Amino acid sequence: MSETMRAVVLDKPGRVRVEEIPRPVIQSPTDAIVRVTTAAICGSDLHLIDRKIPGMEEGDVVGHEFVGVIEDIGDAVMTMEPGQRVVASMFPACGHCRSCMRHQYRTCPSFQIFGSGPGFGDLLGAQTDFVRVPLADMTLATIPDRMSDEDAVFTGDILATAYQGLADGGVRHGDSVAIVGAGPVGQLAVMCAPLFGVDQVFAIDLVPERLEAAKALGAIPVDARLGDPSDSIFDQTRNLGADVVLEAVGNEAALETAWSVVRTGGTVAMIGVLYDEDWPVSAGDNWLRAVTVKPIVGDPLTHRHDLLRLIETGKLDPARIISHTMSLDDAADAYQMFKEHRANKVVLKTGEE
Amino acid sequence: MTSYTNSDDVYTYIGGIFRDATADVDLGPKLAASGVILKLDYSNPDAVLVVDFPQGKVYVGDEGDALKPNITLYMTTDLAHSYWLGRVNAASALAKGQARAKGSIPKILKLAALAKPLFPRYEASLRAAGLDHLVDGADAK
Ligand SMILES: [Zn+2]
Ligand SMILES: [Zn+2]
Repeated sequence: MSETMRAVVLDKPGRVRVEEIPRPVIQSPTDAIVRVTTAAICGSDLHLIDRKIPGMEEGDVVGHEFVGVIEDIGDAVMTMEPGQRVVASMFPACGHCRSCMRHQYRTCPSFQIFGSGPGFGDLLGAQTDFVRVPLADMTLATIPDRMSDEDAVFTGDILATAYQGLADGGVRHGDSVAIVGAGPVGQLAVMCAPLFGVDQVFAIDLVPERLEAAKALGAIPVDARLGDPSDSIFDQTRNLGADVVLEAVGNEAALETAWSVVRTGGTVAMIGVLYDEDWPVSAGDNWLRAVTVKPIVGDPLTHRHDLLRLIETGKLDPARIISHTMSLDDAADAYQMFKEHRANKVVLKTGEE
Repeated sequence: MTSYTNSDDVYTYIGGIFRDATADVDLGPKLAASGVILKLDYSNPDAVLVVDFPQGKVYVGDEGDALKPNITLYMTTDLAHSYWLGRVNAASALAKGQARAKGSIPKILKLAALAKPLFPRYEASLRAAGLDHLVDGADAK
């Protein structure tokens, strides 16, 4: 077996390249090595390659949404075995600390996100042939036999994030939900919305293809190029605004839009990646409007089992938003297409099965 | 409901109370200090006013089109009229969807509070013009 493997790494800002790097080895008895078959490109990967999140340098490996087959396990791995087909949570957690007991995995001392740099634990990315998975018993979940890799890969981050935006946003039956940003995560939130019994779901964006995709999934499209989205949302919500708003972009303009469409007493769930942005309104303004704010790092560990079931029983069909399936070797092109909105959701295949 | 039947009257009386407010020796400087350029977009009858508090100017119809308001309020002319008669709770009108606001909620509520001393003058201006029916026939909102 060769000692090196392919990996998608940061190139000059805004770009990636594929290069050979050493294959990972087991470092801790709770590790597993997974042979990656399918790795998805996520919107947050674009934040990384554009260096919005500091600390990542040229040559660092990206990727946190992946499916593969267990190649090797450490001595202390109890519930997983080589040969099993698995999907990983985008971040490991220990499963037994105080935070984990409260399902607040974000503050587990073992929290680190694959391929997201030193600010997030410096764990190598998974757009590779092989990846080291810490705390394998917690981090990995086996995939039902008949489910495709392409469906399962969504449960490791993006589908769980979309679902959690609605769940933690406290969506109730009959609610009007507005999603700012109709990219892949916004589209998946539209897909999940009927599970929460919503009355109507709006998708706000500037990109016609994305609005079309959201509409095909059941959203009322709101084209922000044609006018102030708040006019459209208030017109269609008895002048009240949306009960729950998902900010699914991760920038100041999207935050501003979110606050402009939420109703008095409503909730803004921030599922986009934010780093150093300012609030769009003052604390006092927020208080006067009684807007509840939920910053969300998607939590696959809590939701993936439910999501795998919902996919298995046909209630969710995340793979339908995949526009391109490409070889890992073509990652540079894939990123470019995704960045320029020429691709909706891209999965990279390693060629392994 | 008895209310305005044409936009000219809206500009005369509601516009008038804004002109009065901006020119007031006591109130004018406080309003100017708010930095607010307020656009009022009324419906039924349709009427548009833009009040430039820092400059102390009131524009009606399309006169204010070139200005860039930092607060815009949308409501029926009836609601605006009831507000000036002191019969509307501004915060609850927004929460109930009777009015729609764009811009800073704290500033809007502050302006609403500053306006309170003007309510009797608004009523007096209508009565002075012989429009008592607009006062006596108007409902509380
Ligand atoms: Zn992701
Ligand atoms: Zn833990």
